[in-house]
Amino acid sequence: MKEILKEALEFLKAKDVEYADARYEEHQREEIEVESAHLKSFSYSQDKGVGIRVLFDGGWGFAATDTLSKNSVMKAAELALEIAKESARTAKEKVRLAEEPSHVDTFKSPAQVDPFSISKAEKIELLKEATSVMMKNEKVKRAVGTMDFRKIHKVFVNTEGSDIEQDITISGAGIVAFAVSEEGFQVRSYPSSFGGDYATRGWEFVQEMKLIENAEKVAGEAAALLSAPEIEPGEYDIIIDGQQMSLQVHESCGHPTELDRVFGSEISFAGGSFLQPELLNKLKYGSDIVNITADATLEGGLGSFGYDDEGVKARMSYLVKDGLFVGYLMDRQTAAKLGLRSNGAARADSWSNMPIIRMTNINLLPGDKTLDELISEIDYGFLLATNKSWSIDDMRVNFQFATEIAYEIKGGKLTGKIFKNPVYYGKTTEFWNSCDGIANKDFWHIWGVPNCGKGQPGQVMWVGHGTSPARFRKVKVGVAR
Amino acid sequence: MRTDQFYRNLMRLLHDTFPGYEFLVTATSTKRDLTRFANSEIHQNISQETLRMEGVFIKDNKMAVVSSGDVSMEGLKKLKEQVDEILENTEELNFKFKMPPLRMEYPYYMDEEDMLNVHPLKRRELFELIRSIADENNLKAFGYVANTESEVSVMSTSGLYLYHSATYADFNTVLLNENMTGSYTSATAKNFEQLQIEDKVREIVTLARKNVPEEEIDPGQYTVILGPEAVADIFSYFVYGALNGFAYETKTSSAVKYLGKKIGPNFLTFKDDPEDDRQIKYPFDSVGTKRTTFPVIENGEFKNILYSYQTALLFGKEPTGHTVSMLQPYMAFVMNPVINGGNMTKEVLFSKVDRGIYIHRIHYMNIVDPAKLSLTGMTRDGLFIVENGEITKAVKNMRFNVNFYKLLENLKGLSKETYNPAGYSTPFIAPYALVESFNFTSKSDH
Repeated sequence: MKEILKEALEFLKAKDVEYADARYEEHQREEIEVESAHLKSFSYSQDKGVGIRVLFDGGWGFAATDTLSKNSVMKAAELALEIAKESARTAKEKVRLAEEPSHVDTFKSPAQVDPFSISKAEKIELLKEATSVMMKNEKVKRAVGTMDFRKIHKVFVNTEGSDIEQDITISGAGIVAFAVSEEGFQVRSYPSSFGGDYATRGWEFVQEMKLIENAEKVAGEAAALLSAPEIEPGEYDIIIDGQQMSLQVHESCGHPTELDRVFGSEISFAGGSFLQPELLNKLKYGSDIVNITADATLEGGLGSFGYDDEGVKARMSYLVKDGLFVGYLMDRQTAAKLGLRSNGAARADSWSNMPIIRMTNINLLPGDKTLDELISEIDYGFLLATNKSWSIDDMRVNFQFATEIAYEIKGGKLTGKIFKNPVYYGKTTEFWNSCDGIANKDFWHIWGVPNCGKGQPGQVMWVGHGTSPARFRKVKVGVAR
Repeated sequence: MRTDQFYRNLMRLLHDTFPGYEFLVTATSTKRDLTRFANSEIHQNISQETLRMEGVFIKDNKMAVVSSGDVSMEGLKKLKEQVDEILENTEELNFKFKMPPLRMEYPYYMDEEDMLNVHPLKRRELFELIRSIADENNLKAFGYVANTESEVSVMSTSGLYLYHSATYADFNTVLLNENMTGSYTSATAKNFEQLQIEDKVREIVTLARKNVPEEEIDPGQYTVILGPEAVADIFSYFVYGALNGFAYETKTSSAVKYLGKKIGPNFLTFKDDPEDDRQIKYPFDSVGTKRTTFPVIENGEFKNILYSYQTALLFGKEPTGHTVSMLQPYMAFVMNPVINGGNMTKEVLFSKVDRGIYIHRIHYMNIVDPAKLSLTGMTRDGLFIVENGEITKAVKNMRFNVNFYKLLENLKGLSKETYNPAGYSTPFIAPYALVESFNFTSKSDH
């Protein structure tokens, strides 16, 4: 296939394109869902195809095909060129790309045990056992366990001489308990909600979750939430657990630092960003202890890779340093507009889609406190855990999150009392400037978010967030009215 | 387009590759071309051609769910290895899987001639039309124009074979003023002409110019008029959050409390209607269940929820024609959503408001409490004061928290006129809505 891709690029070079790249991808996916100790669905997907991107006279064209004959790939190259010419004819501002050296390399994500090598029966059995444990709690009427494994093989070549092959393995799993009463239902998830936790790792990642061992606690909390009170709306000091922090970072830092949003590419759909270029290196985004990075080199992070989908080598860069807004997520096109180099954030979820700016691993760097120390400095407040709902405005300023559970803190200690349906809300920079404590590296974990939507046509990307629990002062908390 | 014959050949190939198995397969080909623009410049211009086969393969009442983009002999052989491995390693289903009954119909050809093999020049021309309207009014244009050709075929070992082909066009546009605020429009229709791009874009010019918010309102309860985009968005969450039969049967749906009850005024009817003239008709769902007009809320009564084929088998119900994907066999969705026009004209609807708020569009809605179907979201692309029935000035965006069922209790009017904002590959036919006691809960900065 690589030879065919290279022939397509030679054809395009002969047509005087400024730049072209060709990507071949093969995807395999296995998804398992067990409901209350019964297998609900076991599915396997396979998919492959080629996407060709052409820059001609400052205009982009992209064509993708799943017919992999040489003839078909060459036709896709011709079509991409034809489309690029149409783009160029109307362009007042020509696209330019930031410099990037060519790379000839391979990358493989660090899976110790290939999840596809584990028997399907073993995977099902693990989920059946975990859901059986949850169902022992009489108030739990549904217990769901899921696993999701992917293998992605990518070949990337471009007209600048890059020739990159990557093999990415993704593993994810989680369990959920639904406790039901006459009044309604409550949900608890472990280790994360909406499908569990994910990483670019192998079967060992799932084993480390200890789903069965945690099932009883998950079920117990779901049942206890049925009769739990709701928090009286007001301003409270709160600690947000690592899992919910991952969504907080995702929505209020990851998305607004996407430079294509800043330049308006998503205005009609995903929205814009309040982080305009004139604020770069000037805006006090958060308190001095807030440091946020984009880092696709973190071993095992769901947003880790060797090279992005325009052949830029993975790297770490700061988005927020000592509370100051200092950087964006960029591709080669947007980086060039700022006179910078890309930091490797151009990603496509499939061969059939053109790469756009996506998060990699966007991380709140650990602080210096233990969780107990964070708790001990709160007179009255809450520890909020596990995302239940998220929403943020189109400029990424006003956010509202719901979590599955809130644990009461009184006199510097957890009281053991829990609250249902907690919601907190605020504005991005006010919120981050109220951060006065972040748990240390012992509490830090790279959470996987496998369902980040963006773009038209829509793309669903897998991204990571390294976070630990963090404390925020005087945050508006309350049940949505 | 691959044509009906391709899928008949695929069915033969499946019979050859999977002898002795029962199967129920959907094969879908899609060619989608999309031109996207921002700041009145094209920034993305693409063509995608994809084929996807999804299906269930059954042996001894064990089930393997598979999907493949590769339907070559080699691809199917590889798929068979996976099917066999899944079947060997799984237990019998906890219900008896039955194939849908034998049914063969003439192919549905719903292509529009001028929507086949559309040259990228056509989309460029449409983009230039939008840009020219923006330029005339000192605005910038953002959005996309797209055309799609699709084919769907459903086939089974029980003798089911169905095929339909369709084409459609869709677009959206935001026009922004110097303040970088503006207004939005969108549509999905059978062809470019029916999108009425020029009319729709010109219609939002006034709002885009007017949307320069210098004031803000306080959180609280307001009488609001929701534009069709906002109405469609809110009802989409009702579909997603309340209509799934599996969640209902397991008592994890807000519908448990409300199904069969009066939840809205008499003038409210919401249905899945493949027969609506403006819809991109899905004549059958992904397991071949024939689709007909299906009332969800009729004259204010919550009449029906949706049962996917497999949910129906599991709970002894009738499938309702809403299975969207073999890969998500318990998911069910309204494919041709229509809210009927209401009890007064748009003009009269606005005239009912002495002082209130007009919400043009909603951003990033989500379900806060699924048990109650409590929703939150932000307004975007225009939040305006309405005084004496007229939109007078823009205010800054607000967050709202509303309960869907309470919102229906407070629904006081729907416009007779309905619109076709872009939904999930089909339009969501929706009117303007007048709602009292709409709950804004916090402010934003823009």
